[in-house]
Amino acid sequence: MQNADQPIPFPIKGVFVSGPISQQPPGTTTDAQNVRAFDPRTDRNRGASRAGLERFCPDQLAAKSVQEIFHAVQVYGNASATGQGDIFVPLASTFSSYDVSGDPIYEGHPSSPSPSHGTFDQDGNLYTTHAGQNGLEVKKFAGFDPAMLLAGDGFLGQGRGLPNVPGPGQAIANFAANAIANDPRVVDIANLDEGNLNAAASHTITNVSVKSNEILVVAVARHSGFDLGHTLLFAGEAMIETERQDNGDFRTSLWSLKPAADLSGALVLSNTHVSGSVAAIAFKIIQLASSASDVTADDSGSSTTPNSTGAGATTVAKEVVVGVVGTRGPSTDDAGTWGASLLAHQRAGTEGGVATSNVTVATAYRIVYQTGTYTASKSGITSRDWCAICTTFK
Amino acid sequence: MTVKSLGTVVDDGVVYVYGSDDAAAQGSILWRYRASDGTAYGSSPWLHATLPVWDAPSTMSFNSQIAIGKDKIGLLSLTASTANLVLTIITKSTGVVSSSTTIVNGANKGGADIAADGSDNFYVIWANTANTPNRVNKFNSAGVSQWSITAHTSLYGVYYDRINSRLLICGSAIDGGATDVAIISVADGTTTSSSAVAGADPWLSITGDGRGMYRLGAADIVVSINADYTINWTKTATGFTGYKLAAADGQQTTNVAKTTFRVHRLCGVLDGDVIGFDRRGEIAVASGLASLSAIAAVVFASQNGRYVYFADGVSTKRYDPVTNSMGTWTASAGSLPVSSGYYPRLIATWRGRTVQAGILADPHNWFMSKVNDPTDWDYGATVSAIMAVAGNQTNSTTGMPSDVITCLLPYSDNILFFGLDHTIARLDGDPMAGGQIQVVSDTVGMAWGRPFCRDPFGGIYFVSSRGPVYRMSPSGQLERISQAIDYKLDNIDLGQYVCRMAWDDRAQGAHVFLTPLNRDWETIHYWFDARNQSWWPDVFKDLDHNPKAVYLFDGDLPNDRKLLLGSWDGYIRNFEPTAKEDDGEAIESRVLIGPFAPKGQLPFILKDVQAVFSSDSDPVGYSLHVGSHAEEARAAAAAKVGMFLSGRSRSQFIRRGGHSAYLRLFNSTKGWAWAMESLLAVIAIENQTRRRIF
Repeated sequence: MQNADQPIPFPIKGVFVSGPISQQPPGTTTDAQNVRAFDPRTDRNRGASRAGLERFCPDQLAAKSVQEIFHAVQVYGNASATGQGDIFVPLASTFSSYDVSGDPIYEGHPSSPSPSHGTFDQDGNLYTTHAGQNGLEVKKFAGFDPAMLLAGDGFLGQGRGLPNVPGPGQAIANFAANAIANDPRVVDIANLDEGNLNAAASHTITNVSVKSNEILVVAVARHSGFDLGHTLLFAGEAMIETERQDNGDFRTSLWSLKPAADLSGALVLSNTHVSGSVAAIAFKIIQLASSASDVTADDSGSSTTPNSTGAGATTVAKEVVVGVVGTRGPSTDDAGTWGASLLAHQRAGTEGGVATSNVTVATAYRIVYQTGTYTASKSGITSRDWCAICTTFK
Repeated sequence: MTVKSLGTVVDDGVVYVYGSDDAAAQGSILWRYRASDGTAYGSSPWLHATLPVWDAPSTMSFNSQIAIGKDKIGLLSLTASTANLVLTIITKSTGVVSSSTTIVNGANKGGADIAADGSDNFYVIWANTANTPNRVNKFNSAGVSQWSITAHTSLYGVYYDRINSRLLICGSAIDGGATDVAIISVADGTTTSSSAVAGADPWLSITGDGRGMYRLGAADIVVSINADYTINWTKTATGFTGYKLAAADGQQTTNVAKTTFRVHRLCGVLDGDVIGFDRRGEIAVASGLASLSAIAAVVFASQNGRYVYFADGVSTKRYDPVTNSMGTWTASAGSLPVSSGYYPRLIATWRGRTVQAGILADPHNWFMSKVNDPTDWDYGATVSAIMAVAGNQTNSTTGMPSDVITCLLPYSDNILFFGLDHTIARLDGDPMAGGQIQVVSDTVGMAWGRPFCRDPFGGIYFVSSRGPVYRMSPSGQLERISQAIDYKLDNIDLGQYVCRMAWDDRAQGAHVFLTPLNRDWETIHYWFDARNQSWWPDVFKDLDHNPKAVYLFDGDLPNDRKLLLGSWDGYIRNFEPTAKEDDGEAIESRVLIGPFAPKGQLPFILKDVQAVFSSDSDPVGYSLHVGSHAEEARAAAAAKVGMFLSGRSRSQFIRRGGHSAYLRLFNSTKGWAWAMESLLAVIAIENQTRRRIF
């Protein structure tokens, strides 16, 4: 008996269903679906799954079928693409910005005090004027690709120093390093809504990357089980249960991990206890000063107004306040409205069957610039058993 | 030293900052900085001594005091000594003050806002009564007043929309009435239309987004409105000052070397509604709702000159991209094509003519407007080479094709193909200049609608009236290219499907979309890989993703050059090479590789399989199937099932004997995409003794 290597090349000549099966022409196949000879990601002729679909326009134009798409061109003035429609709204001591649909880009930006003027350029960059400590300041906030904007993502900004000017107009002062560019931001990873995560089962989110100066955060709502400890692994490293709150056999917990070095791998949520509904939201906070949690608080109850109660006073001025509300109910429940100036982030939950067999978890956050006592609260949710957590990261 | 910001604008790569040291009353100051890095542009400050002193009205709030036109910059200043409100116009390229116009004098009479149009006219809101702005003036580029409107009770904001050529003001009691926002005439300042926009009164600031929508600000509220004043969205928050709104409207350039200034209007027709969109979201089209047939499976549009014209079988409508509005397409001469109440369902633009066909009651006929005038359908006019013409008109010898027209395919200025029910004809030359119809094929027709696309080399691809796909040269030479999958295409009832094709230049191939008219039917689309001359079936897990409409959009930005797909659910999607799922749904991919066997059909034992996948590949499942011949192996249960990972996977131990084997790769996990580098099977060929008994 002699061994031989038998190459199995990808059938780059595609589907051929018109000949004898035993005499399939070289390089063809009788069955393929959603694959390409040319890898859409690299354009190499090697065999790959096809490119996926994304939404060109984020909005549903109407709950109707599309009969035609057309395009009209006029050479008429200057058209903007990136960021077109973004709006700058001054407040008494700060400003907000909204996108073309009125969704917030950044509400209540910590700019210098005093009302200011703003203007956009064709590329969606925002320029603002401020009466700063040293005189008039000008800042530039870099534009962004709205298609890449993540929910709750902050407005990427960068300050531009302006030199001293001589003479009577000596007003525009050097603009100190702008804190905005270094503001912490929340970056989404994935949501999970598992109707019934069986005992010893797991759910995996692949290709998660967290740098050493970032913090991975997972909010979990869990039904019918108390032993979630050490069941969240990231790249083989156990995440820390930063806070938990139980309400009967319903639990909401917040897990975090600051890796010692840049880490990539799978985020695995495993169940070591009995079966039960579980929902989770994974995200990371970047550009934190120390990437560590600071203060935390929690509470539970049964009402339409979950409230974590106030955490202890934060120890650092600039922190990220994370709010988590878990409810023993389906995701179709009324989501309610976040209070305490928290910016709604994500919401994931199960549905189907008896309402109280489901769980839903919702997250929110707020970037704060002063030390203080912060809470996480919602109002207007469907009346359910709830657990609320407020944890700050510094 | 206290410095007040009076406004900022960006133009041609320069950020202009207008400020004033009002406490010291030392004058207004204008700085210029590079938009790219904030460094000073020339001397800093740019202008100071030549500008009037600013001394703000004591209690009056204001919007921007600077506006920039094509060649001029307008600045509003108050001269502290006399409290005159002065409009200073500066030549942008030199910084020279070209005019200085006193608008009004008196204490606390300041300017509330200023706007400029593309012809260097400036529109100024100012206070004739102390601390109460109520006037709007237009000044030309020389600072000479063109008109002044005094009828408004209070005014705060002015905005000129250069994209849509509209001048808007806001305040309270427009013309002394109950409205607070208005579009006014640039010619004389009179009110063209106005409305009482809910949410505030007065509105303190107005700006636009360059997409035909506008933003209004007042204390604690911002709203977005359409040109007809309907509200798109409302944003309320405690602390909004209401003043100084600014929006990215595309009017302020940063790239001076930019060579293209196209305005793109992308629209969809959704069950009769015309709705605009771009990367950012929906754009309301004025009078766009219920414009076209709500029940037609598809509608076709074609631009000719300024307007886009439609064929839906029941109406005559056109879209104006300049005003972003729908209107009625009326004939200026003759009559638009219609027969027994039926209107055309096919439309194309060719040689400057709008071509129509597909009238149910006149299916063989075609109609062409006058050259460059889609409103002129006068077939009885004095005969000329550019006059309107139709297939059944005697002033042309072209005549009608002998078959039912199913599609119009403009190829070049000289060639228009008629796709017919079971034939194809080519019109060579303009019908009014001796053009003749030549039959290209009397056996192959074209599917209905727009079942075709073109490659960059002039080749035409189309779904034929019998199902198979052909490639056609401009001369009409046909080549059937779908033999490999004809068995599948032959079984499609084309009357139940919308057939669309689209060329993908990046991937160098053609999509064949076969979408059933029954939304709930599953279907298979096909991709023709022109480089490998190969066919690849595509299936969308979510049936709502099956496209009825496709459009190859070539915007200015790289990210805008996309093949757009319009689907059942009202979303516009595109293929994205890096996307690993179909808008939230898994891409269920699979491929059967084989049969593979040693030469001579010798029996063998498949010992193991070694796989190398791309380093950024997600895992992909595999199954191995072995049998005594190919057909048996193909149908056999998996001898081994496993998963290959990125990079080199461990050798997969198999050890199964047979004469033929297949390997299947598959994935159905959402968010996973895979790419193969190489696969190798290690086989042991049976020795002579073993072969006899095996």
